[in-house]
Amino acid sequence: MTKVEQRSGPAPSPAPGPSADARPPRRTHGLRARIERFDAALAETHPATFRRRSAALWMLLPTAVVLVVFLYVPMARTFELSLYRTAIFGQQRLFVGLENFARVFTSPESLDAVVRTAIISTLVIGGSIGIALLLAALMNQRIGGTRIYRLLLVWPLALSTAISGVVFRVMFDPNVGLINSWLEPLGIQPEWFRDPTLAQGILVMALIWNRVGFNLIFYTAAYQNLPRETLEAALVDGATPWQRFWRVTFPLLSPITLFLLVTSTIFAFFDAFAIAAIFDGGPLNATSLLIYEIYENAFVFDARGLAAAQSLLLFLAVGALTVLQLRQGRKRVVYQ
Amino acid sequence: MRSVGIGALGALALALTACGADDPAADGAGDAIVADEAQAEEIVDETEDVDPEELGGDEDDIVLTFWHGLGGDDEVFIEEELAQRYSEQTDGVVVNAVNRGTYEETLDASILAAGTDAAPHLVQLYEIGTGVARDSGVFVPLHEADEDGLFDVDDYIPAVAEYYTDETGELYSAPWNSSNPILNVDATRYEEAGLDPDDPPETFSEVMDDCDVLMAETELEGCFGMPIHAWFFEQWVAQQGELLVDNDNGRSGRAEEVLLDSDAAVTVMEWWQEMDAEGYWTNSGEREDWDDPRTLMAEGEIAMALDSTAGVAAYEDSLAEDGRELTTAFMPIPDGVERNGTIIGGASNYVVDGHSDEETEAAVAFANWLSETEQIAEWHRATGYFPLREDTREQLEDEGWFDEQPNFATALQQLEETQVSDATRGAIVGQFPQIRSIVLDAAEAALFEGQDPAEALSASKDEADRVLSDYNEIVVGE
Repeated sequence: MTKVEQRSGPAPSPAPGPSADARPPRRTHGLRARIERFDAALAETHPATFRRRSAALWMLLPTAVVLVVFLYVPMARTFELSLYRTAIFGQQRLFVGLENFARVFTSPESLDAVVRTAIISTLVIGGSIGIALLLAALMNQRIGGTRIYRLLLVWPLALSTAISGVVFRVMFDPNVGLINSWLEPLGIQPEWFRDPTLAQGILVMALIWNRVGFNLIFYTAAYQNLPRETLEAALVDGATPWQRFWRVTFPLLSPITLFLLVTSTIFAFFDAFAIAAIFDGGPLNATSLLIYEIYENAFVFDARGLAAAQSLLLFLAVGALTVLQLRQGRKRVVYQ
Repeated sequence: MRSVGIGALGALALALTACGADDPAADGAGDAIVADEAQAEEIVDETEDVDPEELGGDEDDIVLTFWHGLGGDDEVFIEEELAQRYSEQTDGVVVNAVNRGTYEETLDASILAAGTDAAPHLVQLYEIGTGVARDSGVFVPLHEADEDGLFDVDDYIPAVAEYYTDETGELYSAPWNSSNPILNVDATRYEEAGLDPDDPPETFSEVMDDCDVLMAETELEGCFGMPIHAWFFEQWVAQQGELLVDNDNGRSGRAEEVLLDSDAAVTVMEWWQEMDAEGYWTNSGEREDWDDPRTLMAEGEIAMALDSTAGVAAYEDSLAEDGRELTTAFMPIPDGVERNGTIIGGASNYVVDGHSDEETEAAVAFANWLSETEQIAEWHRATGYFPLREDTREQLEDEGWFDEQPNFATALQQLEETQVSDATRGAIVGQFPQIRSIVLDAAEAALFEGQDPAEALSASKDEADRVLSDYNEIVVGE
């Protein structure tokens, strides 16, 4: 097999250029220097991977094209759209600068929506991770029929979020639903979709129900990979079950917890749309999450400029939240 | 008497429909632009390279693209009966009828495709899209496109035709599928309560009086069903001869104000609130839940349901299954006012601008064929939408159709007795779907939070006016 010649030398250049020796002394900082160091390291560890950097670029091209066409261009156009007030399905527009952003920050309704989304999302993220952890811990006990429990508990994952929403809506229908027919002997018939708090409760429940299966799979897998020596050592040292869980198991599961925290956050802010849409944001906007407001503005109220501004802000907010989680996580997560 | 079975069945049925293309959740909520582009590509895919021979024509035939927003049996009827037959019997033209999702999606797609190679020739658009459709500049008024004078506004029942006329008094779009609201009455339950089903309530207070009797004499815990939908609110404003928006409902000039604080509007909202507070009106609490009154009526939990005429057959069937009988009546109206009549709902067909004269002529001819007596009679029998023309009604009468179907007769009579005025012609206004949502904000505040109806409507008026002025600023500004 051929080996790259300049194993420890400067990076090969795709274009003919001055040789490394002819260059002025290299800086140790800056992008160029970093790339060179990276190339050198790559040549060291993967000597036969790429002879020329252009080959790598060619191989990256399909992904790059997909990203540019389906992600970066639409994003740039979303930003452009956010600077306009639009009508007639975005075909007629009026340049308004940052008015749409200003409206998001100044209108009391949008502040309500932020608070509402924050509360509902926190409950969904905490609930779906907490319940999944509890179930995984229980299933890790030596009990019969674990496989069946696991299958049943993961089942909701097979249903799309939209269908989960429909199932909950029909179950809680105050007049013909299952729940109120069960409650009938008790003499209570809650009006689930007329009371904002009750409707929010159903939304949170539907979202958690739909998500627990996903989180459970990861926790179950993580449980199966726990190092038995560590747990046995704790047992021998006389740790109580509670101590073993909090001091040993939970820290060992922390990489998965961080992963689930990030993915559940994204779920609660974006995928929750399908379920929220089933409730049409009502009653009195109680289930109108930010992602639903964006949908409603864009596709029902035909205010696409405003929706574009809102979607950019939501993207930035969730992005910031994810970065924060990963930073905090790095400090606390224990990798084996 | 609550049923668990219906809940489970409903869940299954809804779950299945939720997979359908008309489900808003099926689209990603991400970026409007992404959706637009995907949609534009899809449109091109569907319309490019349609081979006339595949549609039963010759190689050189004009392929006329017709987009519509109806699904289910209606879609099958349009595409496999009407379009196909027209293609077969007309020389030189084949019709490619395509469902473009919901009414709203059809309007969106049409405006997006206009001016491109993917533009359809004829599109079916819903009535509340009239304002946006006319403002878009994408469509050519029917009376301009119809150079041969195929359409005559006088052929149609005035309450239908007048919705679709513009300031010239001629048709802007071709009438096709129309409906209005009607009161469905469970005659069996009425008799059980000792009431006469042939004397159904005509006014708001008669509805409440009947409800008192029904709830006292039978096991009913509620008596009246109706979706939480602004359409009914608009109907009741019109029934009182009042306008929804200024400038004669947007008919004499651009509407600039939404008249949600009018006495007529407050009267409606006050009654609605009282019906709810007294427990007469049973509802799921969800907006625009058309299944709600239908299910309640089928389950025998209410004795009256206000719904679209398009639902009459469903009520008839579900009651018959349970051994009960349905009668229908005009929509009850506020006390002490003269009955002005209803506004039609439904859709009409628009000719898309920018095609060759030959293609435009073919599009007009097809729209005309769809609304001709024979086709409209068939359309009415198949779907329950109104027979739009005077001569169609006569033909159906002669055939004894209305003796067999007295409930269709009630709806048609209500339509024909409508006094045509700017109130009953319906509003032409931008942002209509959003205005409807704002009306329901007021309804929810009044019904669920007990807010004073006048106050709730006044807050909604401010919001609706702001939304409308934003819209007008963009549209007029160009």
